[in-house]
Amino acid sequence: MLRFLIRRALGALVVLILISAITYGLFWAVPRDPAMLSCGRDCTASALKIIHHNLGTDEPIYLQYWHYMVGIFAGRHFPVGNCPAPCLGYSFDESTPVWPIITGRLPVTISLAIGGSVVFLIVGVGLGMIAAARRGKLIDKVATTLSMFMYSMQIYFLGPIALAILVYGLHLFNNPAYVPFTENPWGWFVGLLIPWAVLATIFVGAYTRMTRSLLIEQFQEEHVKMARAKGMSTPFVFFRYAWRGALSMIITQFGMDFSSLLGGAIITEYTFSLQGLGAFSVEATDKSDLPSIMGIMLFGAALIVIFNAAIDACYAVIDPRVRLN
Amino acid sequence: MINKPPADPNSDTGTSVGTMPDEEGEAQGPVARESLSPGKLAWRRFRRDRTGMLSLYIVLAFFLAALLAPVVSMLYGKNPYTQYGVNENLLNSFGYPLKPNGGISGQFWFGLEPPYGKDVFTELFYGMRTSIGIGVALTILIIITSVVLGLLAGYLGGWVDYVVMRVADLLMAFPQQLFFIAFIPVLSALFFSPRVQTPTWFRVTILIVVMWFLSWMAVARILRSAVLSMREREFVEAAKLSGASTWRIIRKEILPNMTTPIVVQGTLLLPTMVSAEAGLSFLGVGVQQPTPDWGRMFQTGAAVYQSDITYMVFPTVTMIVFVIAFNLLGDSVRDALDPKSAR
Amino acid sequence: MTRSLSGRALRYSACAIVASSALALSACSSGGGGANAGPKNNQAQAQQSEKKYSTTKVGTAADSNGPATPVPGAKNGGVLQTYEESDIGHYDPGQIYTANAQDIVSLFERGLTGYKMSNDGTKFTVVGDLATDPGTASNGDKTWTFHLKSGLKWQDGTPITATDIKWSFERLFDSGETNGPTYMQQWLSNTTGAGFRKFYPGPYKGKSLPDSVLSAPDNSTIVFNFKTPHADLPYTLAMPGYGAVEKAKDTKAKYDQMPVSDGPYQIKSHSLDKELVLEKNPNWDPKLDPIRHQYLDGYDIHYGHSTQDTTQRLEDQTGANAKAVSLGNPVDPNSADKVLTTPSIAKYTVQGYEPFNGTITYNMTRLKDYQVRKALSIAMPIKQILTAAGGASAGDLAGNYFSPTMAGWKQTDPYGKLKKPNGDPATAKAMLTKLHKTGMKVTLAYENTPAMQNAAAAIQTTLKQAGVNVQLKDIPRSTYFTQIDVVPNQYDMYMADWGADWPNGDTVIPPLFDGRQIATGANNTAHLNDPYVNKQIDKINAMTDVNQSQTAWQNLGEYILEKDLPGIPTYNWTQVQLYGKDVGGVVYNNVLAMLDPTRLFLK
Repeated sequence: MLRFLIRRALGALVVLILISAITYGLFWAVPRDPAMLSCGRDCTASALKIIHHNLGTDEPIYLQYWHYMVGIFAGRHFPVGNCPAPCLGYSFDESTPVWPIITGRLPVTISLAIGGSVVFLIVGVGLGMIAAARRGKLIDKVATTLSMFMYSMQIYFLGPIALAILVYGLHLFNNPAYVPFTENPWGWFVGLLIPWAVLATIFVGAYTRMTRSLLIEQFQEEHVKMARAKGMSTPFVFFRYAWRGALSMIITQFGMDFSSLLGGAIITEYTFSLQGLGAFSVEATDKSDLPSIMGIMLFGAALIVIFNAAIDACYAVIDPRVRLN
Repeated sequence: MINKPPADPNSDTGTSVGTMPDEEGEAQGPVARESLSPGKLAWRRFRRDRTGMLSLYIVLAFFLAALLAPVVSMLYGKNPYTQYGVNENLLNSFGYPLKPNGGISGQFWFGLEPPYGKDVFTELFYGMRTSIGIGVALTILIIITSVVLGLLAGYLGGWVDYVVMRVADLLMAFPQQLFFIAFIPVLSALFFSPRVQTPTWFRVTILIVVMWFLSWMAVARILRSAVLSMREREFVEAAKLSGASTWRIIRKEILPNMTTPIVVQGTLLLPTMVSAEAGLSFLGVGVQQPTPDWGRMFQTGAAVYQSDITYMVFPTVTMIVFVIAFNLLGDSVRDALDPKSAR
Repeated sequence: MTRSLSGRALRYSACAIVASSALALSACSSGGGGANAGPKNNQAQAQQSEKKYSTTKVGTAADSNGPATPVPGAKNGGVLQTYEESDIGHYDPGQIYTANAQDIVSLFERGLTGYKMSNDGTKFTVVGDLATDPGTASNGDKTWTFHLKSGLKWQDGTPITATDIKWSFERLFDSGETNGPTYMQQWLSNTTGAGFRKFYPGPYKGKSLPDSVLSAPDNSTIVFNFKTPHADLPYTLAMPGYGAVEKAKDTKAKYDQMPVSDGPYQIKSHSLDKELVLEKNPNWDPKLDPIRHQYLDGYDIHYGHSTQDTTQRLEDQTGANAKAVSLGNPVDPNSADKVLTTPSIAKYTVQGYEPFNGTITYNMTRLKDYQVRKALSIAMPIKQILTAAGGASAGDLAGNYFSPTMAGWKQTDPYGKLKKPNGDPATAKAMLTKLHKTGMKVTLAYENTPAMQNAAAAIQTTLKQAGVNVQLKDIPRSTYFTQIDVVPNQYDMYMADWGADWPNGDTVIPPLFDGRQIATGANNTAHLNDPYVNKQIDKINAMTDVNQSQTAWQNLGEYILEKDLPGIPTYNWTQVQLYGKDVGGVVYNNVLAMLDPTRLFLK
């Protein structure tokens, strides 16, 4: 078990190092000069040189990358300011280290991801279960059609429409806003309800479809059929056998969706003016704030890798066969 | 096994459950040989599926619309570039159509686009042409990549399999959408002198290449596992024993039996890619003015919907119909090709 | 000045030298001469608000006394919620140059001088803010003396001294201070460009500026010594980029996020890109501030709200939205139609001119032939460029290089653009045919935003009818200005705009059209180098009668437009802003080109 975990952790580490190297290489291979951006209108060669020095971009690329990687663990000192560990770079645009920006925005993103996931898990998986149990009946048809419709929705269409109707039309809600959970749990809940619902819509469609077909497939498995033939009650078979079989797939999928949501739900945050990681990444690319883009990219990748590794580890605990793989 | 579907910025983060487990991984064995060929049998089953046939017609209609956009434009007598509103004074001082309902009239069937009064009808046709074209190109590229890598990894196994799968793992860990919005504009600006306009074909190529780079892994995994399980089947073993070359086994025994997963994956992939492209256009990294683009129509629609809601209706409704029809078609195709499947 | 990323004023301009005397300046009033003199408002404009003009003059010591003139009907109390596009990022006064930043920091940062606005927003007076008067000039405008008001305190209670003020200017020379205006640094060091950084490295390594340049002879006196006359100094010092910094608390980078206040409010908390919370500064004395009020208990400034978002909120006018404003976000151009034509919403708008004038600038190094530039200009669809930016809400079509906010403004239109705003490609084609230039390739660089994409495509379409093959080059927003600034560059035309740092012609013509200022990073992006123009610039700069020089600048601008044609004017910028109905004291501030933040209250 321990060996499995160590192997998995090492694998994740290698992936992260490769991702950082690729991203770093891609960014700095591109002929555009981040220093130009903070140089202002009266930019001269000497002013540019000073800025390069301040940003640490006057070194050869492999050295820059090395310093970057060391900085993550040891922190760095730039002439413009200190960047304590974990230093994911220093945003010359915001004149702060990138790490606090990310952690500052993370609660918004986490709230959005958690709430949205709860909605789509409950609604999506629930609908899928009902549809599977009542296969071919009217309710199945309704659920399937609905899920298909939701799946084809676009957030950038749904978001503004939801705002126009629920907030500005019927005045059922206030403008969506992020209030820290620790300050005001109710405000947090109400403020994020619409973004959650909108974010969840597409996932609901997908999860309904997935749950439904997983369960139906399970019903056709021999051991489930056998259980039924033995005369066990339908709900018992449903939860004891079929559901169990479907669960692992749902969890795997959920792990991936959730980890990528943690990297920032770009369009949702953009639509609802929520200041999470997604909105930040759009801003940063807009301003060509390379250190920030690099930081979020690496952070997002780390989340995905760590989450997937964690889920694998869970499986390894639950199901010993996985370890052999 | 991980079942990661293709990129889908429509779902906001670039991943979502799109693929159904029952079409994934499971080897589709040779269909029992009766008097009819498996293809004919499947077609016969498909013909009986009314939803499937309807979706097929709709999908074909979309492809026709995209292909025939120039013909439509010719018959209708307008094009998506002319600023009719400006030329014929049909707009108010803010650039919105003077006539109600987005300027719909006998002359402009779907109204006029703010702020210059381009014709929405032809723009939609040409826009679908761009977006569906990109979607088809991406789908074909991804399928080819996946088939090749899936076959290599699945059939050869060993270190080839290891390398391919680790590369796939690595690319899967990239935050997709961020990667797209960060790199597509940068790459589009490269390679052309500042004197020459970056041609649309180049922008489109970059878009396709970057999206392809991070979208092939899921399908490749699915096809790999299909190959893996097929490798152990009797008919492959038999071919091996009879001394057939690897190439021959792949060509004659494995590939034909891969048709089902390939077709199913393809039909599910295409709408995902089209809405992914639309999502990128919405974020401003897609195709640029004045080239008509379905996705950019959403961007415009989302911007002007407060003053001109009509404009948004056409691209949105067509997109929803397109995605639904394609997904239903995908389901029906799977049912037809693989009657044992769960649905 | 040019715009910032979000389309708001980013005041970057080369220094403008005025040789008129302080006395003459104090008589100098500028602006459009009231609403009557202005251009006709566009037909679709709302009844309730008009595009506002203003006039500016330099005041006296009496004008500089606090407290500020009370706002009629003002009430105390309440916290105002404001929604802004993006965090201004820098709070260190030395880093302040964009309109948004200038507006917000004026609540808690003060300089030696400042603009005092009349309650209706039509008259601006440059007064002493921390200083007792707008300054005393001697030695032919080369020496300027300021005295601090007595009793001024920082938010921590320590007195504000001349040492702090001297320090505030010294630190602008540090290599970390790259975002603010550079007038003072250049004037004090008598250098151009970034040469001042060689002159003096800043005070952090212990070296001080010599008293012969900047001295603080006692606790409340500060003396500037320039090598050349600078009659404009009161205006220059009124830029929030020259706000005061407490020497003892200056922690460089950290200070940028937590400056020490000397205004009516102080920073309670700031979370980057999300929120800036301001509370009352107990050590601010209203009697010593002629400009600001303290009606509100605080400000809750929310960042990260698009114009679409703020427009929706403020159109709504219910619940919390009625008690909110956006200091900087204009009405979303896509919603302006609805906002300005719906009386119940239009009631809560204010609008006014911004100092910007847009042009399609020609790169004269490449487009050498005047006749070609003329043909391009005649074909140019300036109305469609304005439409792309938001139509009637975004501005008025321009006939020349001056915004109506400028001194001595009058409407002229030598190329008949106002009569044929959609361009006249037929005439242009005839001209080009005569020149054997049909089919010529011209590259247009533009900032890659949806609006500019539209405008660029419209130019391409129209010029095609004139037989011109326009190659569009999109440039990312963040690097647009640095790319078109490069000398030489490969583009033939660029979309550009310019606004004065203060409303005199000398902050427009010399930076844009002085042929001796062609350099990478400078603003003469047309590369116009006309010896006559250069000579005239020197001549007008030497004038002491301001009224005379105003007319002279206007005439020179007309000469340049008619004879040289370095660019064709497109439109003069205006701004429309919405506010919640329960917010009082809402006035559009023409100098800040945003809502005036210091006089707001909750009803």
